[in-house]
Amino acid sequence: MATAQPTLTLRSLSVQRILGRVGLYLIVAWFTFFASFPFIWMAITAFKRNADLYNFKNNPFLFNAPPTLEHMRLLFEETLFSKWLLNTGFVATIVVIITLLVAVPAGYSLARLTGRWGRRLGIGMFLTYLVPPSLLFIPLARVISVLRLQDNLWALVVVYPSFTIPFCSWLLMGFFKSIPGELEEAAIVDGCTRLGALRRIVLPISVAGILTVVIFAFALSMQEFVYALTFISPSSMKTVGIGVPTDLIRGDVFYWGSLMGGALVASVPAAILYSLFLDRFIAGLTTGAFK
Amino acid sequence: MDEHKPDVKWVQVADNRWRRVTRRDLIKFTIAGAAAASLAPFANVQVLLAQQRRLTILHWAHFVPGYDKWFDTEYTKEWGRANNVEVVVDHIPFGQIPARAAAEVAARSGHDLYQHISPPSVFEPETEDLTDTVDPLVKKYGIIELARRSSYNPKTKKWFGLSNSWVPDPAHYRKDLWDQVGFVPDSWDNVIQAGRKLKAMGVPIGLGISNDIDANMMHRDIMWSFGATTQNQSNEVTINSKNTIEVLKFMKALFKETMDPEVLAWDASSNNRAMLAGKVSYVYNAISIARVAEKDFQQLSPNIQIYKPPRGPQMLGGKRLGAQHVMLVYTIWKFLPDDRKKLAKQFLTDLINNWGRAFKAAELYEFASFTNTVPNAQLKEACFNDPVAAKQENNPGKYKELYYSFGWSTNVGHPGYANAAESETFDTFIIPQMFALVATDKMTPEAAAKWAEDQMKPIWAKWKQRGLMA
Repeated sequence: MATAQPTLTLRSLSVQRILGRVGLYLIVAWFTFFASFPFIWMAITAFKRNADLYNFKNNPFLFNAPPTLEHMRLLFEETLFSKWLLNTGFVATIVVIITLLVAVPAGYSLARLTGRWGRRLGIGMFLTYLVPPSLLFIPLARVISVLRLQDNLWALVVVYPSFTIPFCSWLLMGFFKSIPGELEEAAIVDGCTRLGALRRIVLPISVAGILTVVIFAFALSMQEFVYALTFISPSSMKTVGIGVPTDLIRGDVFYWGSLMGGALVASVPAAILYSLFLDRFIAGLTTGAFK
Repeated sequence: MDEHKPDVKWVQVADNRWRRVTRRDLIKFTIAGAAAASLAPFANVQVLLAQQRRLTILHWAHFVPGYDKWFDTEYTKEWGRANNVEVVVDHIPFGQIPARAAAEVAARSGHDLYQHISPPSVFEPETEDLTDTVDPLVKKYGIIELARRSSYNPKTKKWFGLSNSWVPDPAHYRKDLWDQVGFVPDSWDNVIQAGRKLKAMGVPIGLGISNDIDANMMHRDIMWSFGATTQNQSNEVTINSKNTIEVLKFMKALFKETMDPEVLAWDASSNNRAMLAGKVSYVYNAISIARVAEKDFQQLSPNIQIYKPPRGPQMLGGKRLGAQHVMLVYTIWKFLPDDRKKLAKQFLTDLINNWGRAFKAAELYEFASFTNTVPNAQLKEACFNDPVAAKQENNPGKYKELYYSFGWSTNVGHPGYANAAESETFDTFIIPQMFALVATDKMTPEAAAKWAEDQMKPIWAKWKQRGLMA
């Protein structure tokens, strides 16, 4: 009996550990399913026949009829989907560059050079981000008209930084605040200028924050709808976010398979981008938060 | 003398003709040639500028992909070549059309031709008067009354738009199931009687009671069938009437006894999905449901029958009326330069002159507003012998009811015009909301009719004050 007690305790500990692990994996599995469900649904719908998709008696997660490539054919052959992808990439890339060029110095200035006004200015900038595009699109339509950029991708390049820059400056401000000022002071003592310290010291250790800004600005540009709808009409100039819903919803008929196919293909690059830089992305978001 | 004689050269001006040219002539020709050569690029610019005349058109994304293909890549290209114009056609979803129009007006910049899918009366102050374009076409072809009432304002005497076509809004029903219960949806009484049995069979009636374009149309249909109207011919609000109360009572019973609650949250595509999924047995819609079924649901397709709107109770007049499903109206913005307006008007005239081709491309979805652009024989042949329906053994005459749709279709705002107040009421979904309030027991029929009147009277007063209504 004296030896049985520890064995029992060890066994119960082991069972507890296994149960804990199982519980953990179940939770992780549930979150994984929850996060990947939109992709699973898009993938299933993109290759499902309409008669199968519309039949409520069928199991929606199974192919009750053989899969079809018809929706993908329609997407790539009867719409300008490839062109929309290129347009989206073009606009998002330029917007990311503009955002970085403005938000990095703005965030740094707010963090280091504006004293107690920095925080208030940062909050002020963030508040401008909260004004919804559904209110702003009418006055901005006038601006775009004066600039003669209607139906031109450059209209989006001009407008999108109005929401990427405030948010990214605010994000970078928090990130730069988390970097000890002593590092720059040491660099300045060693002969660096302020800009030199920013370039040689601050930026290299801010890669996580800058990557976060890149991903955010890129994703925000990809998913924007209202401005693209208002300022761009020709199909050949549309971005994915506007091209897919406008050309694949005809009257009251929704081309569900092609819509889901378009959403799936467009979201894959963004998903890969997020996956590749996930650690740095989380670091970029949380470093500023804990300061 | 000979030394002073000008030098003379012989120059060949044609295969068999030579001409004497003096030195002075040669210098003149050389200078003229050089000048012509130097001006040639400018002449070219003139040619290029002429080629660069541009016409921009905004359309909805047509339900029939073949129509857009015909219009975008065939007709407009052909017209562009003939008139030395680059025609650009842009498409947006139908739900975005009013917002986009508002943005173009705000920006004072936009498309040369803007096609609306419902009467754009609220935009009248911003649109060009098209009398000079419409009048000759009316004289040449005639125009159907519902198109006139959707694009002409009798108060301002202005054609604020040109309606090229309209889309009927027939009922679609599952003939196999209705045959089983022994009814035809010829009257609203039949609909409720059959609906009770069909709901018990698991295939209820599907009429949306929500903020959606199909519900907006269907509710007007049933109101008119019961003798209720939103306004009279003198533009007075008439919603709060005994007939409206009767129709609200009927609709409440119809909802509770024959429908599922999901119709309270339907959008424009819900009735299409429900019918194609075999979930409902009776809906109102344009023929998109039947056409999609022919393509993707071949087993179901022969059982889907198109039918006229039901007749109302005899004691209330027994009327049979249906609103147009879509009213396609082109407008030209007033703020555009005159040369663009002129070009847009020319395009419209030529389009109407070619409407017979558009009718074919639309596969019976759209019908001509200018009556004789599609001869009666062609119309009848198309409706009675649709090539796709003809292949279906048990339902070859599926579309023939559409031939008679000119008789039972009318405009939003009936018995008056589709004026700005009616347009605002339509866009703010007051009528479906009135029905929903009763169906969900939130108000009595009497209170709901009064509620709708309270909503509508200020709208009517506002537009009368702005001078757009008598």
